[in-house]
Amino acid sequence: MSSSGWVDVRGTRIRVLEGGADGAGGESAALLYLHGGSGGGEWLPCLEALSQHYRVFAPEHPGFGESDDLKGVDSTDSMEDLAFFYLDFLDQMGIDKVAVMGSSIGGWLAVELAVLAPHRITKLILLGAAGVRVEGVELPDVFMLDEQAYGQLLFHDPLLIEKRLAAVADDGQVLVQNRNRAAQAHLAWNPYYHRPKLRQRLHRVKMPTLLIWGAQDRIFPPAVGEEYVRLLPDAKLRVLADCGHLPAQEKATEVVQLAQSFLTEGSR
Amino acid sequence: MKFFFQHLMPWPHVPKDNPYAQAWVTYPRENYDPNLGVGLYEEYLGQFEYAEKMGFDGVCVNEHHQTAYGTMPAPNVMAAALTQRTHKVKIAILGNAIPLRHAPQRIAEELAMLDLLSNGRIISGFVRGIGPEYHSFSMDPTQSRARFMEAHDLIIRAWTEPHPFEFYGKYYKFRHVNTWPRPLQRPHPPIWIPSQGSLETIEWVAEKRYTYLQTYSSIDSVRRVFNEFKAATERHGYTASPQQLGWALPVYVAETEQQAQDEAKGPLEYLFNDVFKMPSSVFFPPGYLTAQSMARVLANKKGMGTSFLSFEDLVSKGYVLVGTPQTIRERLAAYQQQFGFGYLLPMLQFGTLANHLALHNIELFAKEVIPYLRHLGTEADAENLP
Repeated sequence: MSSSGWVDVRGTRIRVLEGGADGAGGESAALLYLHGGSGGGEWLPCLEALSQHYRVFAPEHPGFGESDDLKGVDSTDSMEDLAFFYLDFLDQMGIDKVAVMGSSIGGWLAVELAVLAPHRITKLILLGAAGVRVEGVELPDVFMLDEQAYGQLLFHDPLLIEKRLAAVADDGQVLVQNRNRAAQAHLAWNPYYHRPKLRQRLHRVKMPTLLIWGAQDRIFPPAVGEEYVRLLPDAKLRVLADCGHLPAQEKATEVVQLAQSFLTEGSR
Repeated sequence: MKFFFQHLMPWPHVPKDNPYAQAWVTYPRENYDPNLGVGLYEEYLGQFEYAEKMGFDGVCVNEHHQTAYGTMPAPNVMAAALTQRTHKVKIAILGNAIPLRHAPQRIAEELAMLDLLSNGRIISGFVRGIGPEYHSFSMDPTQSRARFMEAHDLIIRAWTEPHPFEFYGKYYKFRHVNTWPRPLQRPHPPIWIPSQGSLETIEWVAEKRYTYLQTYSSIDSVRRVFNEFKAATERHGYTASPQQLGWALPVYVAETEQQAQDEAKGPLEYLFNDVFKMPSSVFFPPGYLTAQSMARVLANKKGMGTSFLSFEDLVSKGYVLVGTPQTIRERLAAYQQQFGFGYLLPMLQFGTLANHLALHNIELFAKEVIPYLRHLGTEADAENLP
């Protein structure tokens, strides 16, 4: 069960899906889910499962979906701007410490946030995350792909690909898709899906980090996850077989199990 | 009416069975043969010279990058050649794609040099550059319009302000802008804005009182956009003069209808399909168009660039004019009466069209079409060509 509401963060109004135990579990019980480039606004089954144990917040990033553009910036300007925005968001919500899970560019955003405020992030879960460039690893230019070709790359399971390609969007959804694509382009066009300086700052991300990757991720191959493991002080990588770029969607059960045991590991 | 000979300088050797999805951005440059390129530039420049000799009022160069569609990535270089090869005609540069430059004052410099080299014959087009250019330069397409506006403001100030100034924009920050030399024309060369017909551009051109050029569109789109431009000028408190409206399109003239069709068909289909076609994600990268303009531009350009357009479609939808001098001048006269444009920019070499046919097209158009239309679009002409 989730509820959808609006949160005004210093003049920027965003949509937030929220669900789970009502803060009863104390500080560490909050889990912030940061969506990927194709947008948020959807209470994914894995969020529903995790909300059995955590208070889960799934905001729609500024510039995406129904949320405002980031105020004071002509559009959501950079991942770093978004990370600062989410610090303000945590303040606004009165959340002192939080576990963060991010998928794709949401994973990149989670890392930016952890670099800025490591003391506020208890644990980090990254799913097929963007953010670092790995020399020698070739990535497809998703901005050059049409919907058909892009859909083919997203999933491993042909049925999921088929389902995505068969989905017919109404006019409102098309507008949102175009807006999400533009927001994503603005954040990740150049440098392509990473920030060169992030790499040298990753040593600050000292909290335990779990990386979950699809073995068949063709957008950001597992080599990107391996690079994160090398660069982050306390990270481990779990590669899921028969899984593409979106483990939270394609392998929800495994992701929930891995996330759950990681989040409870070492906690009292 | 004034007539400007317009050229893309296409690469005419893309094979019919081109295995690549497009002749843009990533179409391998091994397909360009420099030994053929030398002769091709010479041939094309010869066509420009011939257009001047035949009595055209101006010539136009164009800017596109990493493509066989047009081989003038640096239009100011070609314009420089034309300042030396021609003597009377105006030289319109359509480019420059000003947001693609990291220091737009370099365009102010180059245009000033060209204006001096040509003794004041330069017309300065400003464009954003079409979608594929943003892929070619990894330039954020969502900033294209805002960067265009800033680059425009910077260039105009660089041309007109007498003293050094600081420019402090969002995208461009310069401590000392002080462009030497200065252009000959005062306050600066005339500005033309070629466009695909987005509402924002129409409104802005009307506000600035620049000349609006509609490029390669179906006749229905041309009609609608010109009407919208006229309405926009009324909103800004004045009536558009013919000198504010230009129309660019491929034209082919021959002695008989049949001959015109036979000769133009292959080269036109090559232009619109073999070299222009590209995936829509390349033509319209995310955020390049505002949500408001997206639907409109897609409708204006329906099929163009993204799917096959046959010669018959191109003719029946009015993307191109093909026929005898008689039919061409009748149709142009009728369109002029309807739309009120004062500039026509016929593209008389296109695609694979052979040199001798291009020269013949230029000659027939100049001798058998222009003289019959000259008087049109001048009644409201309060001033001569700037």
